[in-house]
Amino acid sequence: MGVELYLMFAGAILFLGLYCVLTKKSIIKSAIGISIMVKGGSLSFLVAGGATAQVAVVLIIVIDAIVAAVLLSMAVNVYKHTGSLDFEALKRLWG
Amino acid sequence: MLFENELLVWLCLVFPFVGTTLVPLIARLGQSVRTAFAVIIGFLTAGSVLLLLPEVWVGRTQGLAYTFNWAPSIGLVFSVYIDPLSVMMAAIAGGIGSLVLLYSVKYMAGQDGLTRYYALVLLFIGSMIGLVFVDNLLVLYFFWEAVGLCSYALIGFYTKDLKAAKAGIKALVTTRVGDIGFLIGIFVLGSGAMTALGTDFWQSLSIHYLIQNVSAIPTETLTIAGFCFLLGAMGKSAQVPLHVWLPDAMEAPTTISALIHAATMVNAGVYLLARSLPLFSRVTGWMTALMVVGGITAFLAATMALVEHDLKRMLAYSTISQLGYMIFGLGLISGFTVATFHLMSHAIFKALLFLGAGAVIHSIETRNMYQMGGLKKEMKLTYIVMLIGGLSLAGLIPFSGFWSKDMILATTWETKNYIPFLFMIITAILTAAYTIRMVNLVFWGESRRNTIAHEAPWQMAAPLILLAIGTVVSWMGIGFLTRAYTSFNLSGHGLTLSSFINETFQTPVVWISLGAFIIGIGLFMIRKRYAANTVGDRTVIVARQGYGFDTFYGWIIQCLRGFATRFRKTHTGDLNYNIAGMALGFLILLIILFFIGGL
Amino acid sequence: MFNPFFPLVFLFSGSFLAYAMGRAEKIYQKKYLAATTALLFFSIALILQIILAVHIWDNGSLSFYIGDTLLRMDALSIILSLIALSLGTVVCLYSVIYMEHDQGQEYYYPLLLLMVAGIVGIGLATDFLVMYLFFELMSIPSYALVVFRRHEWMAIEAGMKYIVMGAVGSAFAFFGISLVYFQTGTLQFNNLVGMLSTTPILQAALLFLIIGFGVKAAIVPLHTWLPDAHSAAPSGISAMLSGIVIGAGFFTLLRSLLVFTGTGLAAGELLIIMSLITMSVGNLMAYSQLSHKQADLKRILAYSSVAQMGYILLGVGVGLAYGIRVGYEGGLFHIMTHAFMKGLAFLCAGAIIHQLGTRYVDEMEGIGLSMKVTVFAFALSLLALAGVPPLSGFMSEWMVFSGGIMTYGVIGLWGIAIAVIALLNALLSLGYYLPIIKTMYLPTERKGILKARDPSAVMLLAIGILAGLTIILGVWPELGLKAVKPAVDILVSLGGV
Repeated sequence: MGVELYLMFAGAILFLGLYCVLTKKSIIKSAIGISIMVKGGSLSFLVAGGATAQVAVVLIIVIDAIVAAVLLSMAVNVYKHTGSLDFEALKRLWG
Repeated sequence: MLFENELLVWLCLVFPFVGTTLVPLIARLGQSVRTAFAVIIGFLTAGSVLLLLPEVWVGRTQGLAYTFNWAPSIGLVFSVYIDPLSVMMAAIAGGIGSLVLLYSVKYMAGQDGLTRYYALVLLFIGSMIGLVFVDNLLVLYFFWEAVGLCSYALIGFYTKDLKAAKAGIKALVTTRVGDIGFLIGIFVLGSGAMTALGTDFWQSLSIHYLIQNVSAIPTETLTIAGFCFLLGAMGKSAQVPLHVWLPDAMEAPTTISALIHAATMVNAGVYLLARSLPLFSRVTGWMTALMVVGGITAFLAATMALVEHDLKRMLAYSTISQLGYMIFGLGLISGFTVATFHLMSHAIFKALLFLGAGAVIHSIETRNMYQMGGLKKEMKLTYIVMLIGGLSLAGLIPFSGFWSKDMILATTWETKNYIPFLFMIITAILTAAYTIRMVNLVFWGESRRNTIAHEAPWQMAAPLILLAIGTVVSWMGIGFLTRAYTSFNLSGHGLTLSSFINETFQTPVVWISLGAFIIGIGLFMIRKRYAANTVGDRTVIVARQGYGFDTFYGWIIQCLRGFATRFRKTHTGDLNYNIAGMALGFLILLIILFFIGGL
Repeated sequence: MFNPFFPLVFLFSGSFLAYAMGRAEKIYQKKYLAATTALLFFSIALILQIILAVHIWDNGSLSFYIGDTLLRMDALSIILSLIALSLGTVVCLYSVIYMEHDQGQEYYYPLLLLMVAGIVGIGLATDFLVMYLFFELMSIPSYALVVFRRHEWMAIEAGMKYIVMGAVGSAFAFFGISLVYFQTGTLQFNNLVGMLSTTPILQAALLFLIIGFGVKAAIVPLHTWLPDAHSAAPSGISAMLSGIVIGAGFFTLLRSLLVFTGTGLAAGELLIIMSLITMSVGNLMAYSQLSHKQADLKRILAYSSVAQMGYILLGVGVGLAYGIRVGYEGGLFHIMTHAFMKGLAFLCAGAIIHQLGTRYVDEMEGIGLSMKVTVFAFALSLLALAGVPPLSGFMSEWMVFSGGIMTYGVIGLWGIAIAVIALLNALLSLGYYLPIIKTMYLPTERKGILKARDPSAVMLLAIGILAGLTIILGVWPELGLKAVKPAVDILVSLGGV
């Protein structure tokens, strides 16, 4: 059971991150949530171990950083336009 | 033999399609060059089909079959199989189509977008010829839909007219409803046959292969496929309740109406059923369904035609009614010959009626029959040909409509379907009544117009005269037709002209049907008394509204639109909701996997 | 000559050069430098890809190593890269004029090249990790390209939604990959096929992978980013996104699912059910756009992409579930035809919107009479999307529906139910395609519309190429099916059915 427990923990982290993106209304918080989700994936790779896992984890750290950078630069634009970082501002397009 | 048969077959297909692609290019050389080119292509097509006619009709016992690898990667083969039925249909499409093209030269002169018009008319004719030539059901469906596209584009030809644009959409959507059934039918039949006969996918979709091996196909497959095919035919051939598009299609130029009603579109459904008759004839209830659908359509449409005031819409209803006759005829035992015979004579006299109506409309620029009257003197030629067409429609001896309609009625009588017979006789009475009413309103009596009519120019008159001659003599082809059918094992009843006339006059039916004509005229005479009473009034109003079919469909669309508008609110655009959608998706997958995946 | 890495090399080096040229453009005050560079490299890559494709169809797949990583170009990857490169080239051509007044040319073209490189790479990957890497290489430029006009609010909002949902999806997919690795200790597709069995962890992995890659493939209910992003992006990018990026997302999903075939996991059945939901929601939403004033033309097209994605899913789903060949063929062929016809639709819509300065359908009355060529091509694309012969959409939708109905042989009346739903969807789609055409050809008095003219020859050339492809693939489907058939051979052999 031991290893599976770690895996469940990793899954829990993933869903914790999802919960964050799901409920929080701030763009910054959702960015943090996404990072947490990715960490869940990394952890589960680490649980499995092996050389590929290390490559995967390094890879995802880089990718996550790039995505975060793009996301935050968009957030800056949102802030410039609306003066807030709230999801509420992002409701003009619907339907 | 002047040409190789194979060459002729491909020419029939190549001329119109190449013509379609070339018309826009040739249009750069000038308007008249383009028009001349289109007409020539039309006649070349007609010529190739007519050259093919004797090849198939005289002395052959097998169809011409040729193939062409269309998409070898998936095994899709364009296979052509030509027998008397297909060559007759093609001759109608090509022959009437080319006359319509000639007629268009004058009728459509000076309109905008004629390049589009000629390209599409050629495509229309070509698609119809393709539809009747091909053997593979799926390729047939390709042309089936192509015909639909052409009708959509041509009905909406006057793009500036909102009504026309809507009518085009209505035609495409309504026929597509039937096509749902048709496509499902094709595949149910194909996959059923594939398992039962152990052939490959494309082979199992060949109509002739299926007909040869019909006994090996499971009945359940045939039942589903049969009724699905019927649905498809109901859409294309405008049977109740999918008939609503055809009257609205009258927003098209009159030439297009003639094309749709006589040469191409609406015949496709009847053709499909006639072609697949050997497949489904042993399906329980299928023939009865044909009779019921056809009978109801024939009757309802005739009553609607009786009260319509728009000349073209009235003719449209009469087409629906006559198509009802054909479908009804197919439902009879040995109905193949009678139905296709009626199809032939109807195509000719209906083209005549429409082109004649076109001449009238062209001359006085109204379609309302109550604003016509007294055209007899001013448009003598048109009057005579319209009268010939009308009497043929009404079923007066010796015009072609009489012979074919009488044949349907006689077969009904002989097969002891007395109640349907009664029904069809009543319809025949109504037919005579509305035809006379039409002739009366348009040509007889005092003029109710403020315009002066003029006779049609020769480009319009020539097709009219040719079609009028056709209306008088086409029935004499019955001998060739039945003999060709017999030699191809399409139908067992061989006739000669004299034996046909003999048989016609041996039964009492001929007197009943002639009586129906006279009663119809009588009914027309007493119309004033009928309309004066309130019950009559009310029926007239209901019939004028098309028995509420349109209202009903409108209501369905309204409901759909309401639902869509409400459904749109589920897409809130809130990011939290979007992410919740992802979580929901996860749950849905979990549930599905739980039920079907054995989690 | 036959090194399958060459297209990728050209795309990468093209992106560097295009950036340099973009900088030079500013310094020397010249126009079109970056654009022509990108166009040149796109065309070289496309030509190389075609040569490679012919070679591989004849001689089988080519493998090669980058370091220790095995990449392979087979018929399946060719179909993806051919579509991506040809659409990319056309969009690049279109953008030369369409984007000429935009700031930041030095970003636009490199990003476009990188995005296409990502798509090409997805096809080459032979293990999950490399595929994921290329998947992100496709995604990240696409995020940036959606918000390329960052002074427009629409773009910002849409980009924000896109990146958040995309990132969440990627995290899901990454987790799914980690579960596969946890269970098997390898990520090589070749090693994985056949060694998987039905365990709870793998079932979970399947779910995570579908959700993760399904976001990019716009499977309902993961599609909510799509209408925003596809309608807010510059039209060339919309064409790329709708045309091939969702297709590539789906392709990624398919490659992942293929690993699971033969394990008793009902991946194919899942796809069929999702496909029915996807096409119904897509069509209904597109239809609902027209029922209110100010229906956004590009938004309708975006929702129609969701619906079309449903058709693709259905085709491949029945292939995956029941081994119905024509389903696979239809699905893959529809990816191709959809790429060209939707690309065409977006390019035309872009030209129209650019001329009129409005995105709303009811303000486009009569535009067909002044922008004759563009609107004719647009009508052609809509009719193709509606599945009208003799246009390409008919052929592929027809094959997809065939696949759907063929399930009648396996699951009886359920098969007919699937077909009825799919065909009713096709019927419903007429309800929004045709009114758009109708509106565009109505008579008008408005000056802005009467004055509108067809765009410049270069843009018309781009539109013409796609319009030509839309017609040719309808009349002569063999051209596309030649690419599809070997790909389906691979799918069938992998699927083991």
